[in-house]
Amino acid sequence: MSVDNLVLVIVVIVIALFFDFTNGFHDTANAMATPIATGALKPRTAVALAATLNLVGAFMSTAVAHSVANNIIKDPSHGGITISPVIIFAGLTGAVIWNMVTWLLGLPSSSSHALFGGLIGAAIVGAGFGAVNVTGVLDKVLIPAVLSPFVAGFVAFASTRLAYFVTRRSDGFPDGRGVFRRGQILSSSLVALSHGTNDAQKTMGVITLVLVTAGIQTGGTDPQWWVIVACALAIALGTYTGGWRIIRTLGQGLTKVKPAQGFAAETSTAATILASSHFGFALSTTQVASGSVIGSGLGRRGSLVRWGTVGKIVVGWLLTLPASAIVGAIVMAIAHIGVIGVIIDGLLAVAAVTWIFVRSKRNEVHADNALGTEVADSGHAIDIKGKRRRAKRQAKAGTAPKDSTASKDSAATKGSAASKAKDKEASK
Amino acid sequence: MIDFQSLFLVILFALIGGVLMVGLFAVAIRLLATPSQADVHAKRASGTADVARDEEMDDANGASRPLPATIGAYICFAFSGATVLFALYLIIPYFHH
Repeated sequence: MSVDNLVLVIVVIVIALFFDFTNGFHDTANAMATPIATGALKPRTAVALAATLNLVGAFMSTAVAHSVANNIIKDPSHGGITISPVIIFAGLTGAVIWNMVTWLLGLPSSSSHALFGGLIGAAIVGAGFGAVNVTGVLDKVLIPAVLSPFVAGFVAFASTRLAYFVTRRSDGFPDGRGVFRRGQILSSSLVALSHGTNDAQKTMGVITLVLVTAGIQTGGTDPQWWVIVACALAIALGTYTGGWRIIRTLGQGLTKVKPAQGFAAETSTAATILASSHFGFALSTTQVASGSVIGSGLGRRGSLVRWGTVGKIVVGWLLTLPASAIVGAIVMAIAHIGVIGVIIDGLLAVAAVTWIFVRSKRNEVHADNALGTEVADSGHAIDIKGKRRRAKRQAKAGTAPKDSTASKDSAATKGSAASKAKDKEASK
Repeated sequence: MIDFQSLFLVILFALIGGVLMVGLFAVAIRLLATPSQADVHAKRASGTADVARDEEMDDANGASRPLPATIGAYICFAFSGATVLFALYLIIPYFHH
Protein backbone atom coordinates (compact mmCIF):
# COMPACT_ATOMS: atom_id res chain seq x y z
CA MET A 1 0.00 0.00 0.00
CA SER A 2 1.24 3.44 -0.86
CA VAL A 3 2.08 6.04 1.77
CA ASP A 4 -0.61 8.33 0.31
CA ASN A 5 -3.24 5.72 0.96
CA LEU A 6 -2.00 5.07 4.50
CA VAL A 7 -2.17 8.80 5.31
CA LEU A 8 -5.66 8.94 3.84
CA VAL A 9 -6.79 5.93 5.88
CA ILE A 10 -5.51 7.57 9.07
CA VAL A 11 -7.25 10.84 8.16
CA VAL A 12 -10.53 8.98 7.52
CA ILE A 13 -10.25 7.19 10.87
CA VAL A 14 -9.65 10.46 12.70
CA ILE A 15 -12.56 12.25 10.97
CA ALA A 16 -14.81 9.22 11.51
CA LEU A 17 -14.02 9.11 15.21
CA PHE A 18 -14.69 12.83 15.50
CA PHE A 19 -17.98 12.28 13.65
CA ASP A 20 -18.78 9.60 16.25
CA PHE A 21 -17.87 12.00 19.05
CA THR A 22 -20.17 14.75 17.75
CA ASN A 23 -22.91 12.17 17.33
CA GLY A 24 -22.76 11.32 21.03
CA PHE A 25 -22.42 15.02 21.78
CA HIS A 26 -25.66 15.88 19.97
CA ASP A 27 -27.71 12.96 21.14
CA THR A 28 -27.22 12.96 24.92
CA ALA A 29 -30.29 15.13 25.22
CA ASN A 30 -32.48 12.62 23.35
CA ALA A 31 -32.01 10.09 26.10
CA MET A 32 -31.52 12.08 29.24
CA ALA A 33 -33.48 15.33 28.91
CA THR A 34 -36.71 13.92 30.34
CA PRO A 35 -35.43 12.29 33.55
CA ILE A 36 -33.49 15.47 34.33
CA ALA A 37 -36.49 17.66 33.54
CA THR A 38 -38.74 15.67 35.82
CA GLY A 39 -36.11 15.51 38.55
CA ALA A 40 -35.79 11.72 38.43
CA LEU A 41 -32.02 11.96 37.93
CA LYS A 42 -29.41 14.57 38.79
CA PRO A 43 -27.83 16.06 35.62
CA ARG A 44 -24.36 14.75 36.43
CA THR A 45 -25.64 11.24 37.19
CA ALA A 46 -27.79 11.17 34.07
CA VAL A 47 -24.94 12.23 31.79
CA ALA A 48 -22.49 9.74 33.32
CA LEU A 49 -25.10 6.98 33.03
CA ALA A 50 -25.80 7.84 29.39
CA ALA A 51 -22.08 7.81 28.55
CA THR A 52 -21.52 4.45 30.25
CA LEU A 53 -24.52 2.86 28.55
CA ASN A 54 -23.45 4.18 25.15
CA LEU A 55 -20.08 2.56 25.76
CA VAL A 56 -21.69 -0.76 26.73
CA GLY A 57 -24.15 -0.57 23.83
CA ALA A 58 -21.35 -0.15 21.31
CA PHE A 59 -19.93 -3.53 22.32
CA MET A 60 -23.24 -5.35 22.18
CA SER A 61 -23.40 -6.27 18.52
CA THR A 62 -21.77 -5.64 15.15
CA ALA A 63 -24.73 -6.23 12.84
CA VAL A 64 -25.14 -2.56 11.90
CA ALA A 65 -21.39 -2.11 11.33
CA HIS A 66 -21.54 -5.15 9.08
CA SER A 67 -24.40 -3.61 7.08
CA VAL A 68 -22.58 -0.30 6.67
CA ALA A 69 -19.33 -1.96 5.67
CA ASN A 70 -20.85 -4.50 3.27
CA ASN A 71 -24.29 -3.44 2.07
CA ILE A 72 -23.94 0.16 0.88
CA ILE A 73 -21.02 0.05 -1.49
CA LYS A 74 -20.23 -3.07 -3.46
CA ASP A 75 -17.37 -5.18 -2.27
CA PRO A 76 -14.30 -4.12 -4.30
CA SER A 77 -13.51 -7.76 -5.03
CA HIS A 78 -16.78 -8.19 -6.93
CA GLY A 79 -17.20 -7.08 -10.53
CA GLY A 80 -13.86 -5.32 -10.73
CA ILE A 81 -15.20 -2.04 -9.32
CA THR A 82 -12.47 -0.17 -7.54
CA ILE A 83 -13.55 1.73 -4.49
CA SER A 84 -10.61 3.63 -3.13
CA PRO A 85 -10.08 5.15 0.31
CA VAL A 86 -10.47 8.54 -1.43
CA ILE A 87 -14.15 7.76 -2.05
CA ILE A 88 -14.77 6.91 1.59
CA PHE A 89 -12.89 10.05 2.56
CA ALA A 90 -15.01 12.18 0.22
CA GLY A 91 -18.23 10.59 1.48
CA LEU A 92 -17.38 11.23 5.09
CA THR A 93 -16.29 14.79 4.35
CA GLY A 94 -19.55 15.40 2.49
CA ALA A 95 -21.49 14.16 5.51
CA VAL A 96 -19.57 16.39 7.90
CA ILE A 97 -20.05 19.44 5.66
CA TRP A 98 -23.78 18.72 5.27
CA ASN A 99 -24.11 18.46 9.04
CA MET A 100 -22.47 21.84 9.40
CA VAL A 101 -24.68 23.46 6.76
CA THR A 102 -27.90 22.15 8.34
CA TRP A 103 -26.62 23.27 11.72
CA LEU A 104 -26.06 26.80 10.43
CA LEU A 105 -29.39 26.99 8.59
CA GLY A 106 -31.32 25.41 11.43
CA LEU A 107 -32.71 22.58 9.30
CA PRO A 108 -33.64 19.30 10.92
CA SER A 109 -31.16 16.66 9.83
CA SER A 110 -29.80 13.26 10.67
CA SER A 111 -26.09 12.63 10.91
CA SER A 112 -26.69 8.97 10.04
CA HIS A 113 -28.50 9.80 6.81
CA ALA A 114 -25.86 12.39 6.02
CA LEU A 115 -23.24 9.68 6.36
CA PHE A 116 -25.01 7.27 4.02
CA GLY A 117 -25.92 10.00 1.54
CA GLY A 118 -22.34 11.26 1.46
CA LEU A 119 -20.97 7.78 0.83
CA ILE A 120 -23.48 7.07 -1.95
CA GLY A 121 -22.84 10.42 -3.68
CA ALA A 122 -19.08 9.99 -3.50
CA ALA A 123 -19.26 6.40 -4.77
CA ILE A 124 -21.40 7.41 -7.77
CA VAL A 125 -18.99 10.17 -8.81
CA GLY A 126 -15.88 8.19 -7.94
CA ALA A 127 -16.75 4.79 -9.38
CA GLY A 128 -20.05 5.12 -11.23
CA PHE A 129 -23.59 4.00 -10.43
CA GLY A 130 -22.47 0.37 -10.54
CA ALA A 131 -20.52 0.87 -7.31
CA VAL A 132 -23.64 1.42 -5.23
CA ASN A 133 -25.26 -1.71 -3.86
CA VAL A 134 -28.82 -0.64 -4.68
CA THR A 135 -30.54 -3.58 -2.97
CA GLY A 136 -28.32 -3.21 0.07
CA VAL A 137 -29.05 0.51 0.35
CA LEU A 138 -32.79 -0.06 -0.06
CA ASP A 139 -32.85 -2.98 2.35
CA LYS A 140 -30.59 -1.77 5.13
CA VAL A 141 -30.85 2.02 4.89
CA LEU A 142 -33.70 3.54 2.87
CA ILE A 143 -36.63 1.34 3.85
CA PRO A 144 -35.68 1.25 7.56
CA ALA A 145 -35.09 5.02 7.44
CA VAL A 146 -38.56 5.73 6.11
CA LEU A 147 -40.31 3.09 8.20
CA SER A 148 -38.59 3.40 11.58
CA PRO A 149 -40.07 6.73 12.79
CA PHE A 150 -43.54 5.46 11.89
CA VAL A 151 -42.95 2.10 13.58
CA ALA A 152 -41.68 3.84 16.70
CA GLY A 153 -44.62 6.26 16.52
CA PHE A 154 -47.09 3.42 16.25
CA VAL A 155 -45.53 1.48 19.14
CA ALA A 156 -45.46 4.67 21.22
CA PHE A 157 -49.09 5.41 20.37
CA ALA A 158 -50.21 1.92 21.40
CA SER A 159 -48.19 1.81 24.60
CA THR A 160 -49.18 5.34 25.64
CA ARG A 161 -52.85 4.47 25.15
CA LEU A 162 -52.31 1.34 27.21
CA ALA A 163 -50.44 3.15 29.99
CA TYR A 164 -53.16 5.80 30.36
CA PHE A 165 -55.96 3.27 30.06
CA VAL A 166 -54.55 1.00 32.76
CA THR A 167 -53.82 3.79 35.23
CA ARG A 168 -57.02 5.79 34.74
CA ARG A 169 -59.16 5.75 37.87
CA SER A 170 -62.91 6.26 38.11
CA ASP A 171 -63.12 6.56 41.91
CA GLY A 172 -61.30 9.83 42.44
CA PHE A 173 -58.27 8.41 44.30
CA PRO A 174 -54.75 9.44 43.16
CA ASP A 175 -53.81 7.51 40.01
CA GLY A 176 -50.08 7.22 40.76
CA ARG A 177 -48.88 8.31 37.31
CA GLY A 178 -46.11 10.36 38.91
CA VAL A 179 -44.37 7.02 39.53
CA PHE A 180 -43.66 6.83 35.79
CA ARG A 181 -41.09 9.52 36.52
CA ARG A 182 -38.97 6.91 38.26
CA GLY A 183 -39.67 4.46 35.44
CA GLN A 184 -38.08 6.99 33.12
CA ILE A 185 -34.70 6.24 34.69
CA LEU A 186 -35.06 2.76 33.21
CA SER A 187 -36.51 3.83 29.87
CA SER A 188 -33.93 6.62 29.34
CA SER A 189 -31.13 4.22 30.14
CA LEU A 190 -32.48 1.88 27.49
CA VAL A 191 -32.51 4.72 24.96
CA ALA A 192 -28.85 5.48 25.75
CA LEU A 193 -27.96 1.80 25.40
CA SER A 194 -29.76 1.42 22.10
CA HIS A 195 -28.08 4.61 20.83
CA GLY A 196 -24.72 2.95 21.41
CA THR A 197 -25.79 -0.18 19.54
CA ASN A 198 -26.85 1.73 16.43
CA ASP A 199 -24.88 4.97 16.13
CA ALA A 200 -21.45 3.82 17.31
CA GLN A 201 -21.64 0.93 14.87
CA LYS A 202 -22.13 3.23 11.88
CA THR A 203 -18.69 4.68 12.50
CA MET A 204 -17.25 1.20 12.98
CA GLY A 205 -18.74 0.32 9.61
CA VAL A 206 -17.15 3.32 7.88
CA ILE A 207 -13.72 2.64 9.37
CA THR A 208 -14.01 -1.02 8.40
CA LEU A 209 -14.99 0.06 4.90
CA VAL A 210 -11.92 2.26 4.51
CA LEU A 211 -9.68 -0.53 5.84
CA VAL A 212 -11.20 -2.93 3.31
CA THR A 213 -10.81 -0.51 0.40
CA ALA A 214 -7.18 0.10 1.39
CA GLY A 215 -6.57 -3.64 1.33
CA ILE A 216 -5.72 -3.80 5.05
CA GLN A 217 -8.76 -5.91 5.86
CA THR A 218 -10.60 -8.60 3.90
CA GLY A 219 -14.07 -7.68 2.67
CA GLY A 220 -17.04 -9.17 4.52
CA THR A 221 -15.24 -9.54 7.84
CA ASP A 222 -16.28 -8.02 11.16
CA PRO A 223 -14.74 -4.80 12.53
CA GLN A 224 -11.31 -5.11 14.17
CA TRP A 225 -11.34 -5.05 17.96
CA TRP A 226 -9.47 -1.74 18.15
CA VAL A 227 -12.03 -0.15 15.83
CA ILE A 228 -14.84 -1.27 18.14
CA VAL A 229 -13.02 0.04 21.23
CA ALA A 230 -12.14 3.38 19.60
CA CYS A 231 -15.71 3.98 18.37
CA ALA A 232 -17.22 3.00 21.71
CA LEU A 233 -14.90 5.38 23.55
CA ALA A 234 -15.50 8.23 21.08
CA ILE A 235 -19.28 8.07 21.39
CA ALA A 236 -19.15 7.70 25.19
CA LEU A 237 -16.81 10.68 25.49
CA GLY A 238 -19.03 12.72 23.17
CA THR A 239 -22.10 11.81 25.20
CA TYR A 240 -20.39 12.86 28.41
CA THR A 241 -19.09 16.14 26.97
CA GLY A 242 -22.45 16.97 25.43
CA GLY A 243 -24.24 16.83 28.75
CA TRP A 244 -24.61 20.57 29.19
CA ARG A 245 -26.81 20.73 26.11
CA ILE A 246 -29.51 18.97 28.09
CA ILE A 247 -29.96 22.09 30.14
CA ARG A 248 -30.78 23.99 26.98
CA THR A 249 -33.18 21.36 25.75
CA LEU A 250 -34.99 21.65 29.07
CA GLY A 251 -36.15 25.11 28.13
CA GLN A 252 -37.35 23.98 24.73
CA GLY A 253 -40.43 21.93 25.18
CA LEU A 254 -39.46 18.42 26.16
CA THR A 255 -40.90 19.27 29.55
CA LYS A 256 -44.29 19.22 27.87
CA VAL A 257 -43.92 15.48 27.79
CA LYS A 258 -45.58 14.03 30.90
CA PRO A 259 -44.08 11.12 32.90
CA ALA A 260 -46.42 8.37 31.64
CA GLN A 261 -46.12 9.58 28.07
CA GLY A 262 -42.34 10.00 28.31
CA PHE A 263 -41.93 6.50 29.69
CA ALA A 264 -43.99 5.02 26.86
CA ALA A 265 -42.18 7.10 24.22
CA GLU A 266 -38.72 6.19 25.45
CA THR A 267 -39.53 2.51 25.78
CA SER A 268 -40.83 2.53 22.19
CA THR A 269 -37.70 4.32 20.97
CA ALA A 270 -35.44 1.81 22.69
CA ALA A 271 -37.48 -1.21 21.51
CA THR A 272 -37.45 0.00 17.90
CA ILE A 273 -33.74 0.81 17.84
CA LEU A 274 -32.66 -2.38 19.62
CA ALA A 275 -34.73 -4.59 17.32
CA SER A 276 -33.36 -2.76 14.27
CA SER A 277 -29.76 -2.97 15.47
CA HIS A 278 -30.19 -6.69 15.96
CA PHE A 279 -31.18 -7.16 12.32
CA GLY A 280 -28.49 -4.80 11.08
CA PHE A 281 -30.79 -1.95 10.05
CA ALA A 282 -29.05 1.39 10.32
CA LEU A 283 -31.47 4.13 11.27
CA SER A 284 -31.53 7.64 12.60
CA THR A 285 -31.92 7.44 16.36
CA THR A 286 -33.08 11.06 16.48
CA GLN A 287 -35.84 10.40 13.96
CA VAL A 288 -36.99 7.35 15.88
CA ALA A 289 -37.08 9.36 19.10
CA SER A 290 -39.04 12.14 17.36
CA GLY A 291 -41.48 9.60 15.91
CA SER A 292 -42.05 8.19 19.38
CA VAL A 293 -42.69 11.59 20.93
CA ILE A 294 -45.25 12.41 18.23
CA GLY A 295 -46.87 8.96 18.48
CA SER A 296 -47.13 9.12 22.25
CA GLY A 297 -48.57 12.64 22.03
CA LEU A 298 -51.29 11.30 19.75
CA GLY A 299 -51.94 8.55 22.29
CA ARG A 300 -52.88 11.08 24.95
CA ARG A 301 -56.41 12.31 25.38
CA GLY A 302 -57.37 15.59 23.75
CA SER A 303 -54.35 15.70 21.44
CA LEU A 304 -54.32 17.87 18.34
CA VAL A 305 -51.72 17.45 15.62
CA ARG A 306 -49.97 20.55 14.35
CA TRP A 307 -49.59 19.27 10.82
CA GLY A 308 -47.34 22.17 9.84
CA THR A 309 -44.71 21.19 12.39
CA VAL A 310 -45.05 17.49 11.60
CA GLY A 311 -44.67 18.27 7.89
CA LYS A 312 -41.50 20.26 8.50
CA ILE A 313 -40.00 17.40 10.50
CA VAL A 314 -40.94 14.78 7.89
CA VAL A 315 -39.55 16.85 5.01
CA GLY A 316 -36.31 17.11 6.98
CA TRP A 317 -36.28 13.32 7.31
CA LEU A 318 -36.67 12.80 3.56
CA LEU A 319 -34.36 15.59 2.40
CA THR A 320 -31.16 14.68 4.23
CA LEU A 321 -30.10 11.64 2.23
CA PRO A 322 -30.33 13.05 -1.32
CA ALA A 323 -28.94 16.42 -0.23
CA SER A 324 -25.90 14.94 1.46
CA ALA A 325 -25.42 12.65 -1.55
CA ILE A 326 -25.05 15.79 -3.68
CA VAL A 327 -22.53 17.25 -1.23
CA GLY A 328 -20.62 13.93 -1.19
CA ALA A 329 -20.59 13.98 -4.98
CA ILE A 330 -19.20 17.51 -5.09
CA VAL A 331 -16.49 16.69 -2.56
CA MET A 332 -15.57 13.63 -4.63
CA ALA A 333 -15.44 15.74 -7.79
CA ILE A 334 -12.97 18.07 -6.07
CA ALA A 335 -10.92 15.07 -4.91
CA HIS A 336 -10.69 13.97 -8.55
CA ILE A 337 -8.39 16.94 -9.25
CA GLY A 338 -5.65 15.02 -7.49
CA VAL A 339 -3.62 15.49 -4.31
CA ILE A 340 -4.48 19.20 -4.16
CA GLY A 341 -8.18 18.38 -4.37
CA VAL A 342 -7.89 15.89 -1.53
CA ILE A 343 -6.05 18.48 0.58
CA ILE A 344 -8.76 21.08 -0.16
CA ASP A 345 -11.41 18.55 0.91
CA GLY A 346 -9.44 17.70 4.01
CA LEU A 347 -9.22 21.35 5.01
CA LEU A 348 -12.95 21.75 4.38
CA ALA A 349 -13.65 18.75 6.62
CA VAL A 350 -11.45 20.01 9.44
CA ALA A 351 -12.96 23.49 9.17
CA ALA A 352 -16.49 22.07 9.23
CA VAL A 353 -15.82 19.81 12.20
CA THR A 354 -14.15 22.59 14.17
CA TRP A 355 -16.92 25.02 13.28
CA ILE A 356 -19.64 22.64 14.44
CA PHE A 357 -17.80 22.02 17.67
CA VAL A 358 -17.18 25.71 18.40
CA ARG A 359 -20.75 26.63 17.48
CA SER A 360 -22.26 23.99 19.70
CA LYS A 361 -19.96 24.94 22.58
CA ARG A 362 -21.56 28.35 22.74
CA ASN A 363 -23.97 28.38 25.58
CA GLU A 364 -26.56 30.55 23.91
CA VAL A 365 -30.11 29.48 23.28
CA HIS A 366 -31.00 29.27 19.61
CA ALA A 367 -34.67 28.80 18.83
CA ASP A 368 -33.91 27.69 15.28
CA ASN A 369 -30.92 25.57 16.14
CA ALA A 370 -32.08 22.20 14.96
CA LEU A 371 -29.28 19.78 15.82
CA GLY A 372 -30.18 17.75 18.85
CA THR A 373 -33.39 19.63 19.51
CA GLU A 374 -35.45 17.92 16.84
CA VAL A 375 -36.94 15.64 19.46
CA ALA A 376 -37.92 18.69 21.46
CA ASP A 377 -39.55 20.16 18.36
CA SER A 378 -41.56 16.99 18.00
CA GLY A 379 -43.01 17.69 21.42
CA HIS A 380 -44.53 20.83 19.91
CA ALA A 381 -46.05 18.94 17.00
CA ILE A 382 -48.85 17.70 19.20
CA ASP A 383 -51.02 20.09 21.11
CA ILE A 384 -52.58 18.59 24.20
CA LYS A 385 -55.67 20.45 25.26
CA GLY A 386 -54.96 21.88 28.70
CA LYS A 387 -56.69 20.59 31.80
CA ARG A 388 -58.36 23.98 32.21
CA ARG A 389 -59.96 23.86 28.80
CA ARG A 390 -61.10 20.33 29.40
CA ALA A 391 -62.38 21.29 32.83
CA LYS A 392 -64.37 24.12 31.24
CA ARG A 393 -65.83 21.74 28.75
CA GLN A 394 -66.74 19.30 31.49
CA ALA A 395 -68.20 22.12 33.58
CA LYS A 396 -70.43 23.01 30.67
CA ALA A 397 -71.52 19.41 30.47
CA GLY A 398 -72.34 19.58 34.18
CA THR A 399 -69.64 17.33 35.64
CA ALA A 400 -67.13 19.62 37.29
CA PRO A 401 -63.94 17.75 38.23
CA LYS A 402 -62.84 18.15 41.80
CA ASP A 403 -59.66 20.24 42.42
CA SER A 404 -57.93 18.84 39.33
CA THR A 405 -56.49 22.16 38.15
CA ALA A 406 -55.28 23.16 41.59
CA SER A 407 -53.27 20.00 42.20
CA LYS A 408 -51.77 20.11 38.73
CA ASP A 409 -50.67 23.73 39.08
CA SER A 410 -48.93 23.13 42.38
CA ALA A 411 -47.11 20.12 40.97
CA ALA A 412 -46.05 22.11 37.91
CA THR A 413 -44.60 24.99 39.92
CA LYS A 414 -42.73 22.58 42.14
CA GLY A 415 -41.29 20.85 39.08
CA SER A 416 -40.11 24.02 37.37
CA ALA A 417 -38.56 25.36 40.55
CA ALA A 418 -36.62 22.14 40.95
CA SER A 419 -35.36 22.19 37.37
CA LYS A 420 -34.33 25.83 37.68
CA ALA A 421 -32.30 24.97 40.74
CA LYS A 422 -30.66 22.19 38.76
CA ASP A 423 -29.87 24.56 35.90
CA LYS A 424 -27.96 26.74 38.28
CA GLU A 425 -26.12 23.81 39.75
CA ALA A 426 -25.15 22.47 36.35
CA SER A 427 -24.04 25.80 34.90
CA LYS A 428 -21.51 26.12 37.70
CA MET B 1 -33.33 -9.39 -2.28
CA ILE B 2 -35.01 -7.09 0.16
CA ASP B 3 -35.37 -8.84 3.48
CA PHE B 4 -39.04 -8.20 4.23
CA GLN B 5 -39.09 -10.92 6.84
CA SER B 6 -36.54 -9.09 9.00
CA LEU B 7 -38.42 -5.80 8.55
CA PHE B 8 -41.60 -7.49 9.71
CA LEU B 9 -39.82 -9.06 12.68
CA VAL B 10 -38.40 -5.66 13.73
CA ILE B 11 -41.90 -4.17 13.75
CA LEU B 12 -43.30 -7.19 15.60
CA PHE B 13 -40.57 -7.29 18.27
CA ALA B 14 -40.61 -3.53 18.80
CA LEU B 15 -44.38 -3.65 19.30
CA ILE B 16 -44.35 -6.67 21.62
CA GLY B 17 -41.37 -5.35 23.61
CA GLY B 18 -42.71 -1.81 23.99
CA VAL B 19 -46.29 -2.74 24.81
CA LEU B 20 -45.29 -5.53 27.21
CA MET B 21 -42.83 -3.43 29.18
CA VAL B 22 -45.08 -0.36 29.37
CA GLY B 23 -48.17 -2.49 30.06
CA LEU B 24 -46.57 -4.34 32.97
CA PHE B 25 -45.23 -1.11 34.41
CA ALA B 26 -48.66 0.49 34.13
CA VAL B 27 -50.34 -2.45 35.88
CA ALA B 28 -47.75 -2.17 38.66
CA ILE B 29 -48.55 1.53 39.07
CA ARG B 30 -52.26 0.80 39.04
CA LEU B 31 -51.68 -1.64 41.91
CA LEU B 32 -49.49 0.85 43.76
CA ALA B 33 -52.32 3.36 43.54
CA THR B 34 -54.77 1.02 45.28
CA PRO B 35 -56.41 2.97 48.11
CA SER B 36 -56.58 1.45 51.59
CA GLN B 37 -59.82 -0.18 52.72
CA ALA B 38 -60.18 2.51 55.38
CA ASP B 39 -60.01 5.25 52.75
CA VAL B 40 -62.58 3.50 50.59
CA HIS B 41 -64.94 3.12 53.56
CA ALA B 42 -64.43 6.72 54.62
CA LYS B 43 -65.22 7.90 51.11
CA ARG B 44 -68.35 5.79 50.97
CA ALA B 45 -69.48 6.98 54.39
CA SER B 46 -69.01 10.63 53.44
CA GLY B 47 -71.12 10.02 50.36
CA THR B 48 -68.68 11.74 47.95
CA ALA B 49 -69.60 11.02 44.35
CA ASP B 50 -67.18 9.08 42.14
CA VAL B 51 -65.13 11.43 39.99
CA ALA B 52 -62.83 10.35 37.18
CA ARG B 53 -59.18 10.81 38.09
CA ASP B 54 -56.94 11.46 35.09
CA GLU B 55 -53.92 13.30 36.44
CA GLU B 56 -50.30 13.30 35.29
CA MET B 57 -48.24 13.93 38.41
CA ASP B 58 -50.11 12.00 41.12
CA ASP B 59 -47.94 10.04 43.50
CA ALA B 60 -49.00 6.55 44.43
CA ASN B 61 -50.90 6.10 47.64
CA GLY B 62 -48.42 5.50 50.45
CA ALA B 63 -48.24 3.13 53.39
CA SER B 64 -51.92 2.33 53.83
CA ARG B 65 -52.19 0.25 50.66
CA PRO B 66 -53.28 -3.38 51.10
CA LEU B 67 -50.34 -5.82 51.19
CA PRO B 68 -51.42 -7.99 48.21
CA ALA B 69 -51.51 -4.91 46.01
CA THR B 70 -47.95 -4.01 47.01
CA ILE B 71 -46.71 -7.54 46.35
CA GLY B 72 -48.52 -7.64 42.99
CA ALA B 73 -47.03 -4.29 42.04
CA TYR B 74 -43.49 -5.40 42.74
CA ILE B 75 -44.02 -8.62 40.80
CA CYS B 76 -45.20 -6.56 37.81
CA PHE B 77 -42.20 -4.22 38.12
CA ALA B 78 -39.93 -7.26 38.19
CA PHE B 79 -41.55 -8.73 35.08
CA SER B 80 -41.30 -5.37 33.30
CA GLY B 81 -37.56 -5.34 34.05
CA ALA B 82 -37.27 -9.00 33.07
CA THR B 83 -38.71 -8.13 29.64
CA VAL B 84 -35.75 -5.82 29.13
CA LEU B 85 -33.20 -8.37 30.30
CA PHE B 86 -34.72 -11.08 28.11
CA ALA B 87 -34.69 -8.77 25.09
CA LEU B 88 -31.01 -7.96 25.72
CA TYR B 89 -30.27 -11.67 26.12
CA LEU B 90 -31.84 -12.31 22.72
CA ILE B 91 -29.95 -9.46 21.08
CA ILE B 92 -26.40 -9.95 22.38
CA PRO B 93 -24.63 -12.52 20.17
CA TYR B 94 -22.25 -13.42 23.00
CA PHE B 95 -24.99 -15.51 24.66
CA HIS B 96 -25.65 -17.56 21.55
CA HIS B 97 -22.24 -18.91 20.61
